[in-house]
Amino acid sequence: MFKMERETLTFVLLLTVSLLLLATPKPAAQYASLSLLSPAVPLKEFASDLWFASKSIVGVEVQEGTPTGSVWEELKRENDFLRGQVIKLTSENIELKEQLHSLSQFRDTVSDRRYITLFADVVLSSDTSGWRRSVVVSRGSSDGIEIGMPVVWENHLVGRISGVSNYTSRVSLLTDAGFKTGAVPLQRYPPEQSTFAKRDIGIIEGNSDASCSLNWITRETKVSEGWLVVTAGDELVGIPKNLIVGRIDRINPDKGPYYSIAVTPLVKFENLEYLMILKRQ
Amino acid sequence: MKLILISAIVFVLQCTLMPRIALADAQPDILFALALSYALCIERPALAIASCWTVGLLKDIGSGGLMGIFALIFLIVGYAVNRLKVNLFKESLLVQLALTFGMALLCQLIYAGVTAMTVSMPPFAGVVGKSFAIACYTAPATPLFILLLMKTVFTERTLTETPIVLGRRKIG
Repeated sequence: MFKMERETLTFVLLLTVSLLLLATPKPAAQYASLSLLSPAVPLKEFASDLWFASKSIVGVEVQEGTPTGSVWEELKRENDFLRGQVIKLTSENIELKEQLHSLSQFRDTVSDRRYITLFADVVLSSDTSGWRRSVVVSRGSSDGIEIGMPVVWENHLVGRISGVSNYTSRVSLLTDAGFKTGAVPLQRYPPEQSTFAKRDIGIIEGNSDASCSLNWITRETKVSEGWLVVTAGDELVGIPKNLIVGRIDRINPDKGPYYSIAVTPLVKFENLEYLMILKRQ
Repeated sequence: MKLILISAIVFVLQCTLMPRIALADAQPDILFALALSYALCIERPALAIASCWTVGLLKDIGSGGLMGIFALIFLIVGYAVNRLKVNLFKESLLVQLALTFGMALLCQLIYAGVTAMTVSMPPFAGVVGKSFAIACYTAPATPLFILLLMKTVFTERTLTETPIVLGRRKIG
C-alpha cells in the first residue's frame, strides 16, 4: 500500500513539474536548456585539442654531453612535435580560408554594410525530437546574439535564432516546421528581358523533414523544376534579399489557384561545421 | 550513478550517431527505448518513473520544441508500463518489441500532434508514415538496452541476493 502511494506521489509531483515546464515562456525554457548544453562547447574544443596533441609529442631538453643516439631520439621527437603543429596550423588555415570564402560569397550577395557577420561553431548538429530541425551553436547573449537573428552559410539562408543562453544559441533551420519567410522563385539563367517586377513572392515554410514548401505562388506565375528559390528580404526580422533557399524539386498544381512547390535546400545542414549569424547595426 | 552515465551516453549517441543512420528521415529514438527499458527493468516503481521522466527531460534539452513535453510523455509511458508490467511476460523478446513499437508509435503521434498545434501541420499521411517508421526503427533497441542493463546495472544486486537465498536453503 505504501509503495503504491509513493509511486503515485512521484507521478503527481513529476507531472506537476512537467506541466510547469510546459507553461514556462519559451525564451526562458530555451535559456535553461541551452545553459545545460553550454559545457558541450569547451568539451568539443578539448576533444579537438586532444586530437592534435595525439599527433605531437612534446620535446625533451637537450643536455650537454648527450650521446649521439639520444640527440637523434630528441630530434625525432621534435620532428614529431613540429609535424603535429603543421597539421594543426594547416587545419586552422583551411578553416580560416573557408570562413573567408564564406564571407566573400555572402558579401557578393548582400552588399549592405549594416549587416555584421559573426562566425559560430556548430556544437550540436541535430535535434533529438526527430520532428523539429535545429542546431546549437557556440555563440550566445554574451556575444550580442538575440532571438530572431538570421543565420547563413556563404550566400545560403540556414535559419533563424530561436533560443539564446549566455554562451550557446539554438538555430531553427529553414526546414523546421516553425520557419516562415518570404521567398521568390528565380530562373537559373534568366532571359535578358526578365525584370525584377515579374517575380512573384511566396512564403517558404519548413516541412519538418529535409525539404520545405514554397506556398502562395499563383498559377499565373511561370515556375519550373530546377529553378532556384531566393529570399525576398524581410526588413522586420532582418533577413536580406537574394540569399539562396534551395532548388525547386517538384511542383504540385493541386492547391486551388496556388502552386504547392517542394524546395530542397542546397546545403546539408547536418554537415556544417560553422555558421554565420547576421547582426544588423 | 550508472543509470545517469548510461543516460548521458545514450543522449550523446542520439544527438550524434542516430541522425547519421536515419532512413527516409526517420531515426531510431533510442532515448525512448532507454526510458522503456528503465520502466521494465527497475523494480522500485518510484525510481523507474523518475528515471523515465529524466530521460524525457534530456530529450527536451536536445530539442528545439516545447520544453517539458517529452518529460510529460515519457512520464506517462513509464507510469503506464510500470503498472502494466506485472501482467506482462517482460522477458519475452516479442513482448519487448511489441510494447516498444506500440508505445513509440503513440509517443510519436502525440508529439506530432503537439507540433501541429504549436507551429504548423505537416501532411497527415507523412506524419503517420514517419511515426510508423520511427517506431519500427526504435523497437529493436529496447531488447538491447534491457540486455545491457541486466549485464551491467542489475548484476550486483542479483549476485548479492543469491547467497542469502542459498543460505536460507542451507538453514532449512
